[in-house]
Amino acid sequence: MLNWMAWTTPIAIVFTSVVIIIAGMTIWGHYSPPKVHKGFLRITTDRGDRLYIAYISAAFFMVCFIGLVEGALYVGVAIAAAIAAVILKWG
Amino acid sequence: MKTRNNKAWFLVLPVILTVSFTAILPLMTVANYAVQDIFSPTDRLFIGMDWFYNITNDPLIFNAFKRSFSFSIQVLLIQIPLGIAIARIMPKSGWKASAALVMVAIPLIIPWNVIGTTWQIFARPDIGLGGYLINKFIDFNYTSDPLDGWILILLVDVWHWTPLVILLVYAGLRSIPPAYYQAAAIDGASQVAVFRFVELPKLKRVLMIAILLRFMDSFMIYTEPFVITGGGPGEATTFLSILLSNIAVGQFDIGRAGAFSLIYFLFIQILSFLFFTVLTLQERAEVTKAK
Repeated sequence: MLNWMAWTTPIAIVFTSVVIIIAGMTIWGHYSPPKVHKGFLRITTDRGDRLYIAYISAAFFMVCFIGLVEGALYVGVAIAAAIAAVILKWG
Repeated sequence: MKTRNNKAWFLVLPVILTVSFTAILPLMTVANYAVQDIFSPTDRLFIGMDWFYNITNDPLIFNAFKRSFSFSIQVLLIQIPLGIAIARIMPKSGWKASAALVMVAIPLIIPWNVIGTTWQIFARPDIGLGGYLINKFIDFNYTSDPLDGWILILLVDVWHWTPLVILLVYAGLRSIPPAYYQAAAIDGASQVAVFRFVELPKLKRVLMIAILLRFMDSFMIYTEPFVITGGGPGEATTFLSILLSNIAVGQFDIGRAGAFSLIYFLFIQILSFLFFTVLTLQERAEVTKAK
């Protein structure tokens, strides 16, 4: 039935983790409502906002990295993860 | 802090179900395409990030990106000042105001491909009224001269979307209390000063909406260049969306088109997020103060 979607394992892992993260954030938000704060991004964010910003920032960095650097994908992923972590913590 | 009742989220469930079929499942499919080279449904090869390397190093796509970007900037530089200028001279009340509003709104309610077809014929040098008249003075042929093609698409976009800016600015101007104008009159402020120190600060929010809406829409422009120039002459009006559809449904290179779509989607995501953030900036500040 899902043959037309041409599933591959890596993409399945990506989307499964997105679903798990969103579900996890929902449950976490239910038991301890998120607090807003203002970090170096200069806008008021709660943790869900920061998660989204971290996600698109990391993705944007990866696109630039792939465009500028040949190979060394793991280095790019590590830097992207670091960027995401910084935004999640201090954004 | 007040306890929040989150049960209302269940009301969003139908929307989520609909969106998952119209947007999320296709997105997942596109993401799968982007990491494979697909020859047929049963014959496909996992190639990892190769398409992404291909896309980000492709001058064709980079040029289309630059073209789309500079088109959006030009659209903003023309439409925002023009919109403000027209909104300021529009009648303020009575039947004239209603008539002007209806007149201005007409381009907004015409289907996009109809606009494309209308302008395509209108600008033709042989049978189009506009093209024929212009060719009496200067040589204008959008099917052979790249600059003319570009100008025509820009003109169509200005004709189509400046009304949106006008309506937004008009609404913004109407919401300024008369007291501000009276105070300015008492101080003997000039027309320019009234615009600079009374109207412009009050229009800031509305203009921000107009700028972001216009940027996003013009960045995704498809129908007008597709109908009028088909991306030509040469590559003069091959914007990102035109190139994408050429790759996807023209060449059936769905792996490459998938990777391209994901990157394009990311840019639109970032722009939409900025749009959303600017729109809710005021509310967010208030939320922080309340806490």
